[in-house]
Amino acid sequence: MTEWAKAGALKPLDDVLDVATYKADTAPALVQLGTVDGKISGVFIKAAVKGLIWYNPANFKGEAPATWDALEATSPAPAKNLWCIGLESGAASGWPGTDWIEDFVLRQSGPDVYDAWVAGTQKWTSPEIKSAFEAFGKVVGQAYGGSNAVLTTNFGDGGNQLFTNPPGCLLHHQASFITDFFKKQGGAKDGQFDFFRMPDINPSFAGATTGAGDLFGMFNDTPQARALMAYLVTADAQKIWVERGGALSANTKVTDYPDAVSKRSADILANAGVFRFDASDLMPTAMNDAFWKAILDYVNDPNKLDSILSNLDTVQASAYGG
Amino acid sequence: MDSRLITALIVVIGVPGVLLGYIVLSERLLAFAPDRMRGRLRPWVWLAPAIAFLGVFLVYPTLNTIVLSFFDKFSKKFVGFDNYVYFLTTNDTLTALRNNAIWLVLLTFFAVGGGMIIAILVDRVRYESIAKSIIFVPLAISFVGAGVIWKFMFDYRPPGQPQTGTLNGIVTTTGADPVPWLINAPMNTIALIIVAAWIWTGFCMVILSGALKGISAELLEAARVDGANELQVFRGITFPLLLPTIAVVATTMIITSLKAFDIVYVMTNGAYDTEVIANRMIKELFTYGQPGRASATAVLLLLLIIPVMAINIRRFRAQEAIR
Amino acid sequence: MSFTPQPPPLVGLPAQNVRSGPLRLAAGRRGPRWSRLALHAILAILMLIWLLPTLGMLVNSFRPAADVSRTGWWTALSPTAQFTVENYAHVLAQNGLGQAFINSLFITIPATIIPIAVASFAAYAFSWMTFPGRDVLFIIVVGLLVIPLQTTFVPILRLFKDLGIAGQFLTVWLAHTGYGLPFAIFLLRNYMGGLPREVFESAAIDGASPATAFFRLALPMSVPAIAALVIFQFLFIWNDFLVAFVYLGASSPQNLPLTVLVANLSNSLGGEWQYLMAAAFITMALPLIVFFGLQRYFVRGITGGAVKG
Repeated sequence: MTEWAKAGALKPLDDVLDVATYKADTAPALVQLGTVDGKISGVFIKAAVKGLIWYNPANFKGEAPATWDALEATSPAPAKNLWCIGLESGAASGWPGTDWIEDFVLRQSGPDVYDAWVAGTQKWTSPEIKSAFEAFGKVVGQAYGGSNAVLTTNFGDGGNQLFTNPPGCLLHHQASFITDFFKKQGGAKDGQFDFFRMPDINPSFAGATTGAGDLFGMFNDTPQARALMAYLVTADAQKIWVERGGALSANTKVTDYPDAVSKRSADILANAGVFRFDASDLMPTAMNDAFWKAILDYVNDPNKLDSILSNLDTVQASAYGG
Repeated sequence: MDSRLITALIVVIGVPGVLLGYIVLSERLLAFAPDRMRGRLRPWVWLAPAIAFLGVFLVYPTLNTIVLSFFDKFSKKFVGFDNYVYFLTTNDTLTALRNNAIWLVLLTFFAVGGGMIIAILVDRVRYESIAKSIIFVPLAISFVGAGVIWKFMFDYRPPGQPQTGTLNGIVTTTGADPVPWLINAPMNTIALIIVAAWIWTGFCMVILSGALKGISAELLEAARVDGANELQVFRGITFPLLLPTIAVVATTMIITSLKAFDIVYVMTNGAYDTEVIANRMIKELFTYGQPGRASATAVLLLLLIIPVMAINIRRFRAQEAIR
Repeated sequence: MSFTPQPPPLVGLPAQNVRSGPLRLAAGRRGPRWSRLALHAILAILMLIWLLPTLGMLVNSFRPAADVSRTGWWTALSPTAQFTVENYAHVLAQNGLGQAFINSLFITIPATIIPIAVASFAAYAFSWMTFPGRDVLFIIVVGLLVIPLQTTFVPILRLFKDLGIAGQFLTVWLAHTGYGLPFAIFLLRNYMGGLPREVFESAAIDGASPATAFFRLALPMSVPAIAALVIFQFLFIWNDFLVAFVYLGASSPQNLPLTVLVANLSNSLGGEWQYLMAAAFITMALPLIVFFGLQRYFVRGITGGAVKG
């Protein structure tokens, strides 16, 4: 989008929208993401947040930890392990791990490093990315069943151990779609699962959140397009998506979510200091594929981290550019 | 819905019509040709469709691929042997090469050896045809289907949980820990080869069984009457007589191992060091968008197969000479 | 109709004369009792090993989701186990398997007919017409048998794109025809070439044109070989993943056959194994019917294909 906006293909929306109302009503992180060179170029219609940490209220009691360190220090009791992870997904195996790394990069090193990483200018061997992998490695070290279970468990079965008796783990990191799998695969009932936002790591990037969203821009400046854009950002328009379930509105005035998960995800979105798209989705296919595989190789043998990362640098060098 | 109906009509009426029409029409046209020309032209009329298809879909693309393998990813700039150097210096592709070697040795060994043992054993029982059908049936199943079937054979659950995979179900009843069959190299490559052997053993068995029945019963009987035991009969008579057929099925299995793709793609997609050349080629082409490297990979695959092809043609000519 | 046709005299394989029944049985009945028992035991184990994987999947495809992900299929052998057809209903309705089944037929039928027809023309010319370069040309065809399909993908993908037909059924029909021809020509040429010469000579004397001789004599007499080839090619294409994946996979999701759809499902279903297995079994149903119905011809096709890579 940034490229289109800079090339002038996307028309600025500052005189199309009622900017004051738009900024007041829209989650600030999303306003920022749709702004190029100080001009509003794209608006969000709907969004989803990732980096949610799921738990079974019967096992995990008390407040959501405020910091990552506090979370890591949480005792897994009554479960054996703190985390459950499932990376298997056929030919796409490894992708749940990329979400972990993305959350770590954004929370540890902030949006600038994150953007450079997505754009292919941040080396994988740089300390910022390496420390995200190492943080993930620590999580895997506390995962149910060890690396073999992490690698062979399907992402859909990943959270099943939250609901067993005794529970295999206390926490599971995944986007909101996972609740369907909790019910179907894990045999969980409504009320047996809840979530909190993955805590901040570096306080200077408080509220940083990853997710997905649909961005709308205007290529042709016609009266119809202007009317449509102005309508799309209103609470009335965005309610339509929300009522169908599974989507979050960019407009903070929309509050009548059909379920508690959506409602609380919307709060996270509204309060997000920084919002970034899923990095691996934005990378070139070759980079994305190598990223998935790197996750598997790293979990399989953490000692190989340096060679795995330098291999990713090699892929980065040829995957971008043209 | 309409377009599906049209497709169905093309499938059922159009295709056979065109094929039949071609011969009828060209024979009509030949009738106008002068007598001497007609005899010379006719073979080419009958061969033309085949030559056209072979030329367009096998000969031309193979030559073109060889050319493309010397160009960059836009097929614009000549890069010499760069794509080959890349293949021969990259860890992932070298792993693929090594794995194909493992495939070649083990699949040929498992499928031909297993096929021969089963062919010999079933020859001695009355339920031979049922036993053969059972061993043979995986060949009628797609590799994708086989991949799904075996994913559940190799399934892994952490120790202490009820196992859902058949193999780990058996392993854990003996008190041992479950094994992550598809994760640890080189066991995972062997696991994939076992799936291929499950499919191909039936093929080898059927052909070897046919050859076995060609061995004169009187000869075997005479040897036994002379006091030879079964092992001696096998070593002295059966095996030498089966040798030409074994060579044929082994050749087929070698080519099959070199081309191994579907099982790897479905079960691991090359993760955990299970990559093979054919899967790598598809990845270079579609995932990495590198037609130059993909072409070089395909050419290397072809180079590995050519010696086998040469043997095949030699055998064919020798047989033709006897005819 | 010729009953119990003899196997075709195929090149590349030693002659196969079936031994007479009684003698074979006599040979098989030898040996002490314990070794007979050991023989039956070994064969029983082998048959079990070969059946077990498919059996396990079949059982699992009829089990409820929660059971599949938590217990092994063998636990369903207990009398209290529950079974359901919901998995099949789900994949047919939700995952587009019905459409994919029709696509598979649309792909398989022409891709079986075209190469066999084209090959029978060529085989006829190779067998009963003389022309310069005949043997060299036939050897080239045999050589093409082992070309790996990978070698052809890049140029043909570009060709289809330039012709503007990328992603259509036509692409796989044409490609499968090209890929299937060497084997089909090879098999049919060997069979047709083995037909009695006198038949064709007397037909020519009676004034029959080569086309008449082809349709009235060569084709009907080659039915056993053609039947074998039809079954072989049908199964090969129905089960094909690679060609459909390469030519249809990226560009036209609505035209995908069963194999590609099931492979895609195995990446995206997220552990909903029960659906994946039901889907896999649907792809296997037709080949299994063809196989058990026409096993005799199938085996002949394979035996003839021993030289194929």
